[in-house]
Amino acid sequence: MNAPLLDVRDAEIVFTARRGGVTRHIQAVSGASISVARGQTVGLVGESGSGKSTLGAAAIGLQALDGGEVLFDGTPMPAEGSPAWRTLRRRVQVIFQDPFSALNPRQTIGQSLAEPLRLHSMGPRRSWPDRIAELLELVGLNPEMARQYPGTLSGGQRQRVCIARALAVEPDLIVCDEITSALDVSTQAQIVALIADIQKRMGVALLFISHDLGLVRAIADRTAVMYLGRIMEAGPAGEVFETPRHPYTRALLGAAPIPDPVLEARRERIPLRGEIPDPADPPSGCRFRTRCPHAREECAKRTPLPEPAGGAIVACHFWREITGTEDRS
Amino acid sequence: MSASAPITTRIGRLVPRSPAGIVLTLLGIGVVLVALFPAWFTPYQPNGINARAILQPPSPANPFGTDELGSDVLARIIYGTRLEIAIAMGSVALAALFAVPAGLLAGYRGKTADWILTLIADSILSFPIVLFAVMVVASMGASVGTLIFVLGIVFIPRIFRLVRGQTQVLVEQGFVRGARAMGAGTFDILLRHILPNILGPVLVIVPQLMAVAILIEAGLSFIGLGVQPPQISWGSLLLVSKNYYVNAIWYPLAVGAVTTLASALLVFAGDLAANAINPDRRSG
Repeated sequence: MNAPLLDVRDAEIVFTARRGGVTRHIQAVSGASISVARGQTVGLVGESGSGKSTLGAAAIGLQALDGGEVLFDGTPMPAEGSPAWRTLRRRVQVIFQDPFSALNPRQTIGQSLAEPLRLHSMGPRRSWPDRIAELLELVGLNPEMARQYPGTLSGGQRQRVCIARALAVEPDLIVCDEITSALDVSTQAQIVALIADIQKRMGVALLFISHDLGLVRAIADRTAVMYLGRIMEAGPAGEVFETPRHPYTRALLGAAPIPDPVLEARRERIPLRGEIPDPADPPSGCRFRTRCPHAREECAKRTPLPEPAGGAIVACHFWREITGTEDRS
Repeated sequence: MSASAPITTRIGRLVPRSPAGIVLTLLGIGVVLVALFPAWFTPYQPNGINARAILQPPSPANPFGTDELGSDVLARIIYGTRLEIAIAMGSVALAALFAVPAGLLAGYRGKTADWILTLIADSILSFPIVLFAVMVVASMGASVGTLIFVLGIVFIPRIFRLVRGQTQVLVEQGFVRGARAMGAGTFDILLRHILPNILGPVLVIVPQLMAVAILIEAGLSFIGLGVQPPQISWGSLLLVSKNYYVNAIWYPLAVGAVTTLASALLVFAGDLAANAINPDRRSG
């Protein structure tokens, strides 16, 4: 296989916040790697505050890195404003969480959809109305809607418009940053079905950021689990969800499923205790140790590096012990 | 996809629908007509001298009485409207010319530009208006132009702060971040996304600042730093009329009442415009 479309290597992102005269350095992302192949859907899951949105922004060059690198199509991020940067802005698109603020209230839907076409000179201006109608139909909206203002649309309709906008320039990668969390449950399912369908038909790669494991499981080919700025476990979605190895993934999934249906029915759930620690003062060693049911002294001393485990990678010193049977892999 | 459609809608939104809005709009149109064509509204000349009708109390022929030279006070107020509106609009326009770009820059760029521009605005804001007016008049002489200049400078921080604050809020909005992610340049974002969204709030404070302009004009002209007496403004009328308050109380009272009413109506108009332009209350 050739190089992945997107390759984030050991990304470090530190925010400096000053509060009450005290400067705090918040490690939003520390040494996280993630890659997305062409046409692939990668789910990035984690609690709020895990740094997944920041990593997503960095992946498309909207967030500067303090360490590591981002390769898109094998090339490092171009300088802002350069011709390569403009091309990149066409090839990667982003859909945000809040569809209510994602559309300019003073522009019609048609104008919002014309913006990417204008910015990237997609065909002659007179072809745009047809293209806009086509895009609206693609996302299941009435082309007549082009004349309306966002104020008259529901959240789900707005998010469809945002999807249409992202698709307007035929990108290679779309970062979907919590695109369903502002929507109600029935609409969530429709939006995920829509994006999955479009992904298949157009072959665009997706980086699907969500805290909703069910949605990620439904859509992703590969999954990465993030906690406090680090990738805890990553691998094929089926493997991560069926045989989770990292204690955090296991906790998220409500303990590992057991193949025996009787035992499975009685399996113990490990609730995640407490809050995610302050990212300005993360735990030493393994970041998850303060909430891990298996934590021991070793975890505070050494930072576990991601190591291969089956088809996946896991960042835990004791994953073999915890999963019990995995030594044969 | 021309821009004409939304602009029509935007102006359409300003068409008043409430009774108060309709009355105010008609009043506003009336005032502009008064300023442009004062002769339509009074049979008298503003500088007509009539030695036999000095300081006459209000009567059907002279609703606000006559002044120390026998001129109709209402006629003088009517003829003063033009200068009043010129000063109010001129000063706000002058302030907006500098404050809107500065506010956009400070709110969008932040950091050093914001720090410097905010410092300048705060310095202007903390400077006493009268002291500033005295300094400017001392160096440039008292005139309408000086007054517009003084008021323009005084209004800069008011508009700047509004534009800066609104811009800071908008920069964090998804559609601005989205436009940047799509590769839109700074100018593009300011022109297409920020400016149209701050135009409403800016338009709303315009009548309010005009009200303040009328009051400050009256104040500065009253102490001799503004419009000088042969020229007629409400402030210069106030200056002259105060000499006759013992024998002709209606004279300063009429001038003062018109000044106060005009600023009150402008403030009220600003409030109505604020409601009308609120995007959350829009349909279609």
